[in-house]
Amino acid sequence: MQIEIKHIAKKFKKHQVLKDISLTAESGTCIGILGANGCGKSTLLSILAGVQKGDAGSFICEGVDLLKDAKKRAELVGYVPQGTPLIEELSAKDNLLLWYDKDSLRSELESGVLSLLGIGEFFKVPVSKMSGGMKKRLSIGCAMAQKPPILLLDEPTAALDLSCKQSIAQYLQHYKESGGILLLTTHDVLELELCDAWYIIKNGVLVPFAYDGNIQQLVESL
Amino acid sequence: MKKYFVLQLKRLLRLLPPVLIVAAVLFGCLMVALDAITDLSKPEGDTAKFKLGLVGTVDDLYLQLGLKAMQSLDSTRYSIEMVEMTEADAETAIRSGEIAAFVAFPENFLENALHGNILPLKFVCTTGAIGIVSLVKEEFTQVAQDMLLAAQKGIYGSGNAMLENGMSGAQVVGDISLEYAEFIFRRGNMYRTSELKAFDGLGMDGYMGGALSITLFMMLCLTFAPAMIRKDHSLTRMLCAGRRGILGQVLCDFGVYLLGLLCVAAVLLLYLAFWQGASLTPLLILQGLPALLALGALSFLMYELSSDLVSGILLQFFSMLALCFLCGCMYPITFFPESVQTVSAYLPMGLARLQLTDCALGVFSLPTTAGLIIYALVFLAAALSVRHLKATKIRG
Repeated sequence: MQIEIKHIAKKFKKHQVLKDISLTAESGTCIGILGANGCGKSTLLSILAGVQKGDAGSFICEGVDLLKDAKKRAELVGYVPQGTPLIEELSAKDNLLLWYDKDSLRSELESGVLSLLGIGEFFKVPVSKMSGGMKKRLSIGCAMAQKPPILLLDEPTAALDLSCKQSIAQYLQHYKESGGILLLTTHDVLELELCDAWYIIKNGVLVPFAYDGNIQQLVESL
Repeated sequence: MKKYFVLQLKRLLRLLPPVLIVAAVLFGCLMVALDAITDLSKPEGDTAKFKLGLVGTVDDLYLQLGLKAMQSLDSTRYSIEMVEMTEADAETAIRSGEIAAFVAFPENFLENALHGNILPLKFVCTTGAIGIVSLVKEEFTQVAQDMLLAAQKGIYGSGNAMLENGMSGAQVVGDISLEYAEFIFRRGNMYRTSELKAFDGLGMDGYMGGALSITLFMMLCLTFAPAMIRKDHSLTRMLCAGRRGILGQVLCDFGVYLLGLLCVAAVLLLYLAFWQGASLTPLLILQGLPALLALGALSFLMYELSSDLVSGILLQFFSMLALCFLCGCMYPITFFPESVQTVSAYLPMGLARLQLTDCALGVFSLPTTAGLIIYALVFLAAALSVRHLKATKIRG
């Protein structure tokens, strides 16, 4: 499977946030998208996820423009936005029931993605009582309900401690190795190391960057 | 969206029990207040009166007439009850607290008065009633003076006319003068009072009942704040990505909120049915729904505009308070200038108040109902726009 993102553009009032965003990715790869705060990373992911409409561009997968085919997009693309996309007052079980039916929930919990994410440990715990790492794992679990081959993650390990970052990075590695395509926006070193290709959004354009572990060079490039 | 609706409902159900308890307490207080207003506005009957004993009046017909007139006067009949008794009984009654004071008329008081010899009346009271008795003394004196003056002209005029026409002095006094005096004494029967339904066709208690219900209902909307205010719109975004659009989300959230408000309204209806004895027909309940829709939608919009609990509660509290005050939901609208009355009739609270008035009077007003439904739709559309704006306003 291959995805092609072509000439995505977005303007807010008079400010052209994204001018011409294009990239391709194959199965089993992880693309890291970096940039200064406010450069349009989250906006790009939200356009690709269908949350908001871009002014131009396409998102092609299996010959279908996913920006125009919402049904196909919902089948193929999983999206985990920044923040906590969960209902705080309810338990993990109730939140998962928003995305899974009861049978698939049971099977995923026993031996599927939810088992890999370790959600069984806090299945009946209310979200308000969960740690940041639990919430993020649960959010990823919700996004994986349709087993999408493409996963869009907006700063997945932001504000998490190292062990939580590690456990999530491990899952994402597993997902990539299973043939999934990961697009993630990041400021995190662990996530950078997970990626196979890196791009920086600069002045609304995607600039490829070869990350070799040199943070200083990366910062200067931003 | 069914799953989303069910989960939001489950979320609201956790909040509902304390909300209903607060509603029960507040509406209970409203019922007590309404009872007090009803008692105050009753023209006669149960209101406690100042009891005054009358001694030495039993045999005197003319004194009876005069005292009957006193009891018919507007200034005394709602506040003073006069009871005839002997002096011994009066003294016993005053000691037991049955009466506050008594007035003793000396023998042949009226006969002496007619010959210009005013014998003093004896007022006897307890120390605590001295102030009231002073007022009563003044009242007696004023009434006697007013009656004599009013009767005087008529008596002299009719007397002169009769004498000129050959009638005797005894006839003038006995037949005409006293008849004339009695006519003046019966002045109190010349009119009856009735309560003017000055508040949109309702009495004060009916008006304030409906108006304060709206105010309390809007205040109770605040209790839903923890469930309604969203700081984080990431779930909205994720649901959009999963083809559960913002319209569906807003309708589900509003539907759940409306169900909560219906439960609150049900508490009020139960109080009206069991405490006030109101008959609640299905039609009456249906007629109240547009008001609930409009006010619920306004409250929902306020929550959508808020981004944290404190600002959300403050926004809701002050705007609702201001609107309720301007629309006559805390104070009778007739007390406001004409311009305010005109404007308030077009505001959502004003329309809701009119709708509740129509419910109470059993009438249906299409403009009021349509206005409320339009307001509900406008507020919902605005809430949808706000939610869309917040969900798509992504920094980064």
